[in-house]
Amino acid sequence: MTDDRDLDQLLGRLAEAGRDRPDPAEHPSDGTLSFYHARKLSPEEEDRVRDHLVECKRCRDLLLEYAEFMEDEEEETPAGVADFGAAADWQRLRGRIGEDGKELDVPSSIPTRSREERRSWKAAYPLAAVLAAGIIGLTVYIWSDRKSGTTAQEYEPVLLSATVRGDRRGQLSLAPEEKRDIQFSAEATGLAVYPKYRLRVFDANGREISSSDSLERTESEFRFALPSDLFVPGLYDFRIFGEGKGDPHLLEQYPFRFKRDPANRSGTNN
Amino acid sequence: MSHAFGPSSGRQEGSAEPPVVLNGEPEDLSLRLIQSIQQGIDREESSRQLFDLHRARVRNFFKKKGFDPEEIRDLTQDVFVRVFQSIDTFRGESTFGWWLKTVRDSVWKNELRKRGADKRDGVEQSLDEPSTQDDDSSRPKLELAASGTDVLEDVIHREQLEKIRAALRDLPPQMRQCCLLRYEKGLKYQEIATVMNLSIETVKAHLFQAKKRLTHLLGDKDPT
Repeated sequence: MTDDRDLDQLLGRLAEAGRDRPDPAEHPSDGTLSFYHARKLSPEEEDRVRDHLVECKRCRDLLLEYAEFMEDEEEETPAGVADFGAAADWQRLRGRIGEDGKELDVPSSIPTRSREERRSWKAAYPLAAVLAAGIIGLTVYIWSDRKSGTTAQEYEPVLLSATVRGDRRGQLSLAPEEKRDIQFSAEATGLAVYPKYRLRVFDANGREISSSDSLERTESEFRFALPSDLFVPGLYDFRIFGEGKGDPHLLEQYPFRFKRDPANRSGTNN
Repeated sequence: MSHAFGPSSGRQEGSAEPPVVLNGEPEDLSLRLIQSIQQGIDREESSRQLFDLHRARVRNFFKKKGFDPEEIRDLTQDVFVRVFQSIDTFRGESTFGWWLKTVRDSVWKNELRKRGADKRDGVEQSLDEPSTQDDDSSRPKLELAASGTDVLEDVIHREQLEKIRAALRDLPPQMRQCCLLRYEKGLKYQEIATVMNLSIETVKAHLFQAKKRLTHLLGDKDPT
């Protein structure tokens, strides 16, 4: 009986011989390899591809690379942290696709910049810190092309009125010295019908920083007062959830970037 | 009437609602979403779901290539811009995942070209040695077998090779293929599982059984 050492030696000969063997001259198409991985081939086709893969390094490497790509679907975010980036990325993508002429059903709402412009803007941002003074009673009118159903819809935030100087489109400004409330309002009539609603605010790390009481829809819009000292400059996500049986359902979300405006220190309360 | 807003307990929300997987196969879902997009049905929502389904894997690829977070975001965007611009040309001649990988590779290579990171093929030439026009001078010269002992060793090696190949031919096909991938091609268990479309447990079981059988087969055929 051959012992393990003899067998290992023989298997070693196999490895030596296999190292330099050339690949077969013909290969299955990329499509066939992809369908093989997805198990969409007939048993006979699958056997043929498998036989080829045993012999062909080129096709094995292609398949292994593809399999690694398809199986690598986990985002490396800590458990329980909301994927804040996905929503922002989608908004930006919609804007780019809209600009490039391949419109989706809802018009783009996000202005786009080239990668270089964004980098220079980002570098200037810390230098361009602004203070908002006397910001009270900002009202943001949310317009969206709503469809029926309960999925979250896209929107274009438009600042209708503000007590700050200049147009702060899609932004709310803070009055750190005066610590007055910020108002946020959202149209209620277009939302899917739920027994109750709640507004929850998340920071850029996906941490919930504030939550309203559970509300019924008694008027055409929801209005919330938030203490301004809740926020520091940065990106926040305002989300409206429908609450009923089961888990709360995200109905709408509105990202806002808060910044300070050193030029405007004398806003009035409207 | 304004509603009071209170501080929350700082609890963290879980990840966004995942897209519905209709029959457990992301590829099948991708195809349905693409069909909706191509037919103009719920184009916005279908595009969003397709993006959500594949965003992480594209990002992870660029992350592994060493790009910084902003570059990862931009390059991922570039991939999906191309995908959605040409989605009407996708005809199902491969899986969507393979098509996406092709777009990803194209974006990646373009980025490398922009950075001048393409490697040029060429024969390395030492500065200390005179250059020649003969390409063969850069390749190691073949060494001739110098003694009869080496020839004998070659013969023994060839006989051993034939012996193991003959024994492998007596194994069931899948078991034999797992052995070839493991011992001839040097693949890891998970790689064999991917190539063979088997579970890793099945691969390990095949290799374990194969060793037992080969030990037995080779022992029976050994006249000593």
